[in-house]
Amino acid sequence: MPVYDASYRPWEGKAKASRWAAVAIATTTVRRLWRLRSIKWLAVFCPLAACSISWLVLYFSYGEFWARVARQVGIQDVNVLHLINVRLFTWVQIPAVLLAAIVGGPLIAEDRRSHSLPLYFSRPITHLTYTLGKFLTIFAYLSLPILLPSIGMYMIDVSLSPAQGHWLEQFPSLLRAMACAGLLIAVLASVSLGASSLCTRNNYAIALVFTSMMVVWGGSEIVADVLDNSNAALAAPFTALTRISVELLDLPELLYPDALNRTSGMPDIRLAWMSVAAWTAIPLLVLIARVRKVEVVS
Amino acid sequence: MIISTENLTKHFGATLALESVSCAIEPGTTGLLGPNGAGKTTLLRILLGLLPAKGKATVLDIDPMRQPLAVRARLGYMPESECLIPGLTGVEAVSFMGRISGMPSRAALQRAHEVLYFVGLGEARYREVGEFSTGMQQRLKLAQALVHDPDLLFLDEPTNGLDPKGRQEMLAVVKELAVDHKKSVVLSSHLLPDVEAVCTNVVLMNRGRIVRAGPLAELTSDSDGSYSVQVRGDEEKFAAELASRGGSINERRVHLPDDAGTRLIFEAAAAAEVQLREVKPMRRSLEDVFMEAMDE
Repeated sequence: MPVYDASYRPWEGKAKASRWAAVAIATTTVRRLWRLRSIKWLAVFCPLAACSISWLVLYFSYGEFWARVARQVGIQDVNVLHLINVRLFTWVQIPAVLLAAIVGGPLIAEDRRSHSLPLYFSRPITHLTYTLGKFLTIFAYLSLPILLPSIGMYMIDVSLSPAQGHWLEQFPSLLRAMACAGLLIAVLASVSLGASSLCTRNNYAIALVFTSMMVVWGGSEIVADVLDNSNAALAAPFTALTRISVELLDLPELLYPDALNRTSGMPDIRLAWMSVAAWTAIPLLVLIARVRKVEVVS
Repeated sequence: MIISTENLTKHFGATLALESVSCAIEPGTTGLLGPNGAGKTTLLRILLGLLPAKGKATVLDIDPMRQPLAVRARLGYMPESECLIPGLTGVEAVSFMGRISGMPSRAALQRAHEVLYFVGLGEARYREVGEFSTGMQQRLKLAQALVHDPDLLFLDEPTNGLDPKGRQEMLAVVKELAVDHKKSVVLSSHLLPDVEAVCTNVVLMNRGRIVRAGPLAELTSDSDGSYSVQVRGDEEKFAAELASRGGSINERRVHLPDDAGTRLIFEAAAAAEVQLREVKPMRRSLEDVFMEAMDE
């Protein structure tokens, strides 16, 4: 005897706009992935590691360590938070690629393998809504090692400072750091979702994301060395992102000390922006085209 | 009219999937019948607004090719293939489908519990969908199609992979939805008994064309003057009396001359001194209609 009334009852509520479906897709997928032990560990370990390293850097920075480094390369008036964020975005790239591959790789591949795309698209949602939902999912996970430490460091910096208005003074730095973090997350999310849409097996998708990023990174560095042209390295999204980060955080001289004397040592910032835009847009276009095709054919 | 199509044509490369399909489907239960590759699923996908096609179509007075989201908001679709999202429990999967249909999360969750009980998965609703048997998966697919309380249901092979008991239960649920809750149902199947058990209207498809359409009773009604007759007594004598009056009997099927009425059967029975236990007009089975249509 069921406790519930098992008869069919009509639903008379009012439906929400379809754009909210992206939030539903993201929250459900985040919750589903959180049940996987590997992702849980990685998602917890990455921000912990990033925060620990950042905290240590912050500790040393107050001991004039980083300021001395900065002075050595000719920067007299340095913002400590900027210094730390530049280092964070450089160090966090490899673990972030790993997390992006493990979380993002299976996102579309699994839907393709389980033939659930027709199920999604029998609902009042567009391809863009579906893509946005998956994008938000990976954004949520990548925020843990990338965005969260930036905010955490700002909080620590503000709480350690004796000055009353320090939080307001440093707020633009937080925004700049968040912009850098957002760019890194956007590129990683796009690449992993684009690669995921090309595969039907999770492992292949994970391998494709990780190897494509690493091969392009290593290959572009070799080409840049061979050609003795630092712009060639911008083909890799990480090099381009690092270039943009040091520009946004006003520290180009720290990463490219040669640039103090000869400007050729510093990659072109416009090329860096173009590289990041291409690494974000092209995988997204591939993703939408693939999803549309698969959904029609399956 | 819930669905109407006019010269709907669809090509997949060089393959012609639908050829000038024109039909009008009335509210109620409609069986979309045809062999594999007849174009049933393609037609359903066009009506869902998932595929573009040449020609005109309206579903619930909405053009699915121009306003696909508006159509899908009022439709429930149960796909043929195994298509459940892994890693979710039954109630999560159904409430998720409710949420992406625009339901608020709390309402979607409550509704998910209700429809899972309705389809008979109340006890299994907290189990992960990957652990579900084929029958349970079919029920879950029906539950997700119902969660947002659609006006029209597209059920693509709902009894696929079910054992006889499961099949009967699934058909009973579909029938209840149609009869008691006034849902319009389009049931795509190649299983004729399923359609016969549930549907009042039938659309027969073959090679991308509609070959028969109309109420099931009309399609299966016979016009060749045959009757099903059951007698008690000397059957041979009855057959002889019938033959002497121009009729014939084959097993229990009596065929009468063109202008003769049922009176002839009663006269033959009286002459043969047998008791008539049953006399009823012979109806063709849906299988007869189907085979005839496929041969054309």
